[in-house]
Amino acid sequence: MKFKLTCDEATAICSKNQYGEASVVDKIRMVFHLLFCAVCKLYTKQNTIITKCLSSVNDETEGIKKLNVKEKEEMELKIKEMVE
Amino acid sequence: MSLEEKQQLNPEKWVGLYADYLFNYTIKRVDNHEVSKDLIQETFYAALKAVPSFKGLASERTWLVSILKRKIIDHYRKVNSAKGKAEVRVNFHQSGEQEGDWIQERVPAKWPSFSDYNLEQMELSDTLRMCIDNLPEKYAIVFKMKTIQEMETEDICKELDISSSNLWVIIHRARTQLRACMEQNWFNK
Repeated sequence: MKFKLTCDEATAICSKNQYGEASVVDKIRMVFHLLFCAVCKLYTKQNTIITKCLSSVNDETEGIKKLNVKEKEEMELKIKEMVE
Repeated sequence: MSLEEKQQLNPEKWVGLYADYLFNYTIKRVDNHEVSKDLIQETFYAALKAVPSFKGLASERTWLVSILKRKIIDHYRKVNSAKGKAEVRVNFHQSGEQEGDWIQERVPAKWPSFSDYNLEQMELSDTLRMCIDNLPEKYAIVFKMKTIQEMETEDICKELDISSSNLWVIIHRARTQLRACMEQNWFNK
């Protein structure tokens, strides 16, 4: 395995790391890449900001979603048609 | 096992008993009202056809969910393989000497200091939602399952029948696209 990463690979590890699932070796390779790459360093910073913003989106989307009565009636009808 | 002990099927009652449960299960995975509705309808159709082969070993609901899972995988395969459909923009050179390097015009721009923004602000979540909704479906489905539903990687791979490296490529591209979309529509507006 080569140690040096391309920007594509380094940012991919950065994204995996947002979920805490990057391996230790990958994290070391990424940090090493970031020492020399200002663009990916900026990307990493922004990716972390996006993660923070996403956590506020998560809170809003909780809750049970349902079909409305009309949709269920239509479904029931279609099933009846097929049974007969 | 006698007939009485076996689980019985009552197709007339399916919608009343299971439609909401199945819908909630589906929309967490595909996050689209119409698509979810269609998948459930298809599940009921497939189940009706399969009634004669139902062995009565699982409960009715478990059996319906197993059919639905298949339908979700089929749906994901379809959006995943669709040629000519919307793709995310490429951010890195894909071949040649510069392979893996940033494409010049896709390089991230500096954002104004983050402390200037209030995370509670509704508009920020709205913009983020809009950017997520603009992702091509094959990216949106995986991204939402992982990020919004916070599902385990292993479970998503099983449910969509994809490899974990495939999952991470999709997440990487989705997030890169999301970053660019937020830069355009929020941070550097």
